[in-house]
Amino acid sequence: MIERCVLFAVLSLTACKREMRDLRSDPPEAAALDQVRPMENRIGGAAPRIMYALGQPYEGNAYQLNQGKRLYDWFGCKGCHAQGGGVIGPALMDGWWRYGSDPVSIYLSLRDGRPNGMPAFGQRMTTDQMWQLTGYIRSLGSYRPSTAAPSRNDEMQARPAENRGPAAAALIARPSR
Amino acid sequence: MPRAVLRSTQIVLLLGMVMAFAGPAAAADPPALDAASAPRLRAIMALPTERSGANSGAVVAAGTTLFVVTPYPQRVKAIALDRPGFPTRWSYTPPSTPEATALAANMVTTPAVADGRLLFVTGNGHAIALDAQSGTVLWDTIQADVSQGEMLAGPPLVVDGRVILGSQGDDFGVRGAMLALDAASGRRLWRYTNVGPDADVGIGGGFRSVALPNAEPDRGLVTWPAGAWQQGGGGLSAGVVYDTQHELLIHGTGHPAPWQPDVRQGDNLWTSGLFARDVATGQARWFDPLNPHDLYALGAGGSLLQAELDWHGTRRTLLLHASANGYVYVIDPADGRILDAHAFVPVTATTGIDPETGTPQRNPAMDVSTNSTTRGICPGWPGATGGGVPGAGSAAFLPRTGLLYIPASLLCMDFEPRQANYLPGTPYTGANLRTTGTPPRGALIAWDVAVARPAWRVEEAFPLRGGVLATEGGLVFYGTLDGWFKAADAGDGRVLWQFQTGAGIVSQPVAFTLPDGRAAVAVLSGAGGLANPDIDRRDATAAHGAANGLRDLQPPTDPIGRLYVFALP
Amino acid sequence: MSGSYLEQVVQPDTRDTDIPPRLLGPQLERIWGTPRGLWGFLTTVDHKRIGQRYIVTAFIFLAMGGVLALLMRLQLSGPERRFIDPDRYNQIFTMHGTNMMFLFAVPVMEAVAVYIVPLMVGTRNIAFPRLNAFSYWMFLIGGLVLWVGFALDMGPDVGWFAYVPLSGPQYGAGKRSDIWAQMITFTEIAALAVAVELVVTILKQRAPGMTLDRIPLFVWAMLVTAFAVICAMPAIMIASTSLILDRLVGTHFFNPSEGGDVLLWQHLFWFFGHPEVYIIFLPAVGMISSIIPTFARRPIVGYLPLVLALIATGILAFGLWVHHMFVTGLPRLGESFFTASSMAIAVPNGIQIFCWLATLVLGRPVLKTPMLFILAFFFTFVIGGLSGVMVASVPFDTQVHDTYFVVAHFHYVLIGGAVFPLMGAVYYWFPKITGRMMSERIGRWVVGLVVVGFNLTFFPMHILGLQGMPRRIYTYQPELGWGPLNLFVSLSGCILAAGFVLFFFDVVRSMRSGAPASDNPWQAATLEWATSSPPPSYNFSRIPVVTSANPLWDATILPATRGLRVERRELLVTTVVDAEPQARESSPSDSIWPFWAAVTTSVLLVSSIFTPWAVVWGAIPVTFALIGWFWPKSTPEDLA
Repeated sequence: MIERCVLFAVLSLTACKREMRDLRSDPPEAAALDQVRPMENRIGGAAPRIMYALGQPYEGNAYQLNQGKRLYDWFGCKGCHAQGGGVIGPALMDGWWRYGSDPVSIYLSLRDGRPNGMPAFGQRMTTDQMWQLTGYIRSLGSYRPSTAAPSRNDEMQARPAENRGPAAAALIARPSR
Repeated sequence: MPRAVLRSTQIVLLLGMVMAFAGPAAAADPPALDAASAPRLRAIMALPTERSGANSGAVVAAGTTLFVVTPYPQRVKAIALDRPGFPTRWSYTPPSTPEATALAANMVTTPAVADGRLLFVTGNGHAIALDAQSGTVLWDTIQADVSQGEMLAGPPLVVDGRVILGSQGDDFGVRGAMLALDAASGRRLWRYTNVGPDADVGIGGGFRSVALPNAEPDRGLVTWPAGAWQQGGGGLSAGVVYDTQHELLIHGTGHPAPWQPDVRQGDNLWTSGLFARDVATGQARWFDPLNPHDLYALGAGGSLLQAELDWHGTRRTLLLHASANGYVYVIDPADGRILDAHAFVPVTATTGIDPETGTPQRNPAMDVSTNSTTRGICPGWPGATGGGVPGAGSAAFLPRTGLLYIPASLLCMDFEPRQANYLPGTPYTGANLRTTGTPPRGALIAWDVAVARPAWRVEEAFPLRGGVLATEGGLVFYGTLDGWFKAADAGDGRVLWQFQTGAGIVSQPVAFTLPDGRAAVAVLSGAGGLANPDIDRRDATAAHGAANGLRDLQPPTDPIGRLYVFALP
Repeated sequence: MSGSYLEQVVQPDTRDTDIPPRLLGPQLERIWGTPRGLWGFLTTVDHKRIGQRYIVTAFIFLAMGGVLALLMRLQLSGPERRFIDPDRYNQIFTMHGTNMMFLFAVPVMEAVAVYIVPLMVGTRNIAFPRLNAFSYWMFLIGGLVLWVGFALDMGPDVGWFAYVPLSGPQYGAGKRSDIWAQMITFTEIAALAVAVELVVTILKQRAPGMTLDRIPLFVWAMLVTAFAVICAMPAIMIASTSLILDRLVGTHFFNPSEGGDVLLWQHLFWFFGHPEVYIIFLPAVGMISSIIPTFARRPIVGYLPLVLALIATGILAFGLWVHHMFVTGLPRLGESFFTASSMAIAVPNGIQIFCWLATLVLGRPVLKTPMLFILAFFFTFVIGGLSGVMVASVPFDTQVHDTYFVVAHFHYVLIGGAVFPLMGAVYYWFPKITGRMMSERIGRWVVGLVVVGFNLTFFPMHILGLQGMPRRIYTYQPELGWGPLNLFVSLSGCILAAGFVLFFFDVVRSMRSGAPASDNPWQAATLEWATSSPPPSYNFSRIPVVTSANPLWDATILPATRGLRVERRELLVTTVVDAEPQARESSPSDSIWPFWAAVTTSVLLVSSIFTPWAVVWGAIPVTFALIGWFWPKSTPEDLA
């Protein structure tokens, strides 16, 4: 029994963060979540301080990542990026990022858009939603299997599931440019 | 990249020098380009376009100048054919905006030359006229709203001092339109959308449709759920043809938006059909609904051309439309009556064409519904022929053989409609699709129009996405996705000559005569799409499902496009 | 003293006739008894100890599930209450249903059977006793997994039947549904194991002379139940395993886009789920059929019709699962068929009710607490049955589907039909299990509080349902007008809870200081009352011989068999139909291996929630545990 207790104790440390469901942020919290401090070139930068106070919920929280997956569908991300393999927009699952792989960079891509056709979603989504989508997109291009990331889609099977770390299995080495 | 440019430049210089020495000797009596001489074709130019997207345009030769417009961001080059080494006479780079990059990835960049003007459209919605001699800008107007996903589609067509343009944004829920500009000033003469109320579409008293005899008003509204027409798509699809006899512009309309068919119940007029418009006023004259309530988002894509041929004993000028839905239509241009329609590839989506209405008979097994995958729909996206954009992948007709040479795709697809939300300026598709197929997935089909069956076909591992050029000398030129540029005998399909260009070909080959009298053929290489390193093929739906059906298509070592010119020594 | 004497006397192949009757008990205790301390606790294979543990654990889960119910009632007591947030509420109602169905209702019925059936058929231990021990550990760990998950905010939140796609990979975020699905695996392994033991015990270990028509009705009921478990549980194990596979490794069993089927889940689930209702109800029928003759002071009326009704119910139970799915858009003909079969099952149930009523009318009923529970059962279960016939009709079901009407209906059926008889059975068998009587005075209070509290709580839910209140909502708006009735329901729920608290109090009090019970305090007729209270580890010093259906009433002195060995665990195997003695069979001794097998299996199952590789690496310790368990012994097994 002792070993089980230890096991559960260890699990509990990860489980609480993974499974908690914060259904809506308080307005001041959401406002603070928008306080990213980007680098001058709009790639990389410091995350809002409150992100750490909240325990980085958009990194390893299953519910937030799952909400991100729904937003990916609802906001038409598939139209340009397919299920992560790319169409007229670049692939998101191959571990290559034009504008940075860190959460702040992806958040900025969503909020302000990027050159070469990425539209700005800052006026279309809430801060929470953009962070959820950020977390999901990062799981889509993750190198490591994750217990928090969603599994396969309830739709046409197209690619390795997010919880498998899709980028790790990238078959095609991309040329560096 | 710079190294590649350097290398290509060296090649050009080297070839130029070869030409300079070879030129005078060959000037006396240029040999004809035919089946006998074809194996001796040599590349005389390989000019990098410096763009890695889909190089899907055609070059235009006028006099001693060859005009090429690169993919976005566009750059126009006038190449002197009469000077050794083919130097650039002038070049012009129109202003570009990075926002349009993704949207313009698949546009056709073919320019037009008329009355000393070079006319072309850019990926950010500009229509531009340059002086063909000097390259100075005559006029530059914006005719498409890129921020909404609208772009100018297809090559400009110049008719009697009017520049005919079409706009397209079917995947973004943009109502496509046809418009005419004054070639001298760039002033807009008329503009009509292909979806919407009669006033917008240009349907008035002169409109008759064989397939839709009752003349209710505003059928472009009532065949949609309330308001859905506003994001209806239906942009220019299949290039514009001008019928001089009836003074009609005939063009295809694209698929209705979104792809998801359940949210647009109804026939979705006037999408996915053929329109004939009066060239002077733009008013619609007739319409053929080829795919009412287009389930598979193929639109009336493919190629549209006019041909003079013997039809049941009479010499007539008829429209030949090898459509994305897999059928070759023979149409009377006067009233749009469909005289004949037969499948030129294996088709499962439909079981035939209803002789009464001219519309396809649906195969209920291939019906699609939201959140369920229908497998084995043939033809697969973007259709049995054509590159998915108007003007790309055009068939060719050779009166001498009576054959229509169709660059065909034999891909099928699995299609699953999903929820689609309209956000202006973002794609409005709502479907998962993956193409399927095993070699041969493409073929050059020589379609005998008179007996409505293929005379022969050349099978290819990959679908043909570029156009076909048929020359009077009895040769058929076409390019493949794995980079081969081939010449086949127009009579029996024997491949007489082939050349590896190094990158996939999705453009239209063009024949012209060099200043020294030799026959030449030009083609652009560079396929974009799957060749784009930004595509991850492990996602079966990537690149509109091409990632699945063409999984084994090797990406080129160098994705940069090149302009190749071939001539006999 | 006697120990050293026995050591001299007892040689290999010593029979019970070889030693003085005075020393038979001590010798059997030496062989069958469980050592004291932790080691004995972990290794014992005594069906009574395991059954007791099973019952206590199940009742603890009942109490915990009851607390969840009270929390829900607190949240719903008024409109727009903020006591529980929606996410926690989802977990709570799912935990309540899952806990009550999988950790209380099914296990507790099997637990009672594990304890009582071997005594009733007059044998010394259940068949496959080590499997029995394994079963308990699996059940316990499965329950812990669920509750620890709940404590860690990982409790399932998809309803107790976990419909896909809500529970599937796309919408069931995190590991919550996996916890649910693996808990199913745990409890189903446990339930299947017990079912197999019961079938074999009942068919092969009955006392000589206990022919099929002399088997006590509770044993018949458990036989039918065990077969129902064996037929129904694989369906849910397939379902839950498919769900885990869908979620973890991306199979497509429930993905219609890739050829799977969402409705497949509902079919598989209810093909188990509906028989499950009878898996809970049939043991209750057996309990009622045991209690009524005892307190009516006469043999049961209509033994044969009752047995046939049990079997008929067991079979029909598999033919009406679709009535849970009437609103899924099935073909009309199918709906009509299942409406008809749903109504048909009322026939065997009616036969049972009338047999019991006839027994009561023809006997001289004594209204002790167990009997009062049975009377409460009649009243409540008939109401539940009537609302059942109502929802069996498709048009009506379409209206009240997923409303509180359905909630009211199944609580009437399950609490009225199973929990009341179970509480009666606890009062009835408590003296046998503990050797002490429960308080008759408190018992009457318990009956009163529970029955009144139950009806006041659940009857208004019918009305709430008809007013349109959906089940599983965490709150409602004041304008809907459901507030007053909900407040009434919540207050009544306190009465019901008070009844249960008093019941648990009485159990604890009686265990410590209840009046000592005689061997047969109720003057009942079946074999479990023939031994002492509580029974010795070997149950019977000599296996009794049965000559009638009510042996303790019909024979003044019970005949017994002779000739079983006493220096090892041995029991009698008899023929299936006539219970003719067939063989002396050794019964396994205590072993730690079932415990290790359960621990290693649990590690495998729990880890497989997180990574599919757990199935590979986890199988290695399981293999070692099983090798240890099944290591061949040098002792001969069977002796004719």
